[in-house]
Amino acid sequence: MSRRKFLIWGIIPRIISYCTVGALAALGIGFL
Amino acid sequence: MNPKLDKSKRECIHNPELRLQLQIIDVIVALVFIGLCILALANYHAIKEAITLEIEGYGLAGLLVMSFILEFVPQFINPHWGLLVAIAAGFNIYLSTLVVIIGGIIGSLVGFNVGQKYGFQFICAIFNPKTLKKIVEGWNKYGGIFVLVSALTPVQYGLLFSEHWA
Repeated sequence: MSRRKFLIWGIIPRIISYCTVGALAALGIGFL
Repeated sequence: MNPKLDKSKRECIHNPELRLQLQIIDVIVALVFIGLCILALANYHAIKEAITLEIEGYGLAGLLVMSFILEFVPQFINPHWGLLVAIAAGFNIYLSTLVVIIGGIIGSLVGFNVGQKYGFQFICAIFNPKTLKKIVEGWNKYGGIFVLVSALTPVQYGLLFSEHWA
């Protein structure tokens, strides 16, 4: 697997995943 | 075809004795890993508490190191838990998310580079040429999907939610 393919399939989804968890946690704290 | 892969293929040494030794080591490592997973499940609360204490004690630097290690070493707990703990502990949401993203990216890239440098020689020594060809073909075809699923794997969420449902 090339580095470019890893960046597209591995890194970008991770960033989206962390941002989603951060946003959900922020929303959760907002509701609490 | 990736030229690095071709270079690795030329360096591939098929040594049945070495393969047997590596297979034995592989089984031992797999057993240790399964044991660690069982221990992690059994001591789930203790591990969560340890991560919480580390993040509260060392702050964002601890979060960075933790996310790096959790991404670099393939194991059971993802850095998402650390991010949740940091936000719940009152750290800045944007900074915590940024730190976890940076640590996660560095850990993933270091893991990728280690795998790219030594991974092929390792599986080359373990599997016979026919199986190796199938693995390489399958990985070249579906590798992106495997990486995507591992990046978005919901195991940690499942555990988190199942704990609350229990």
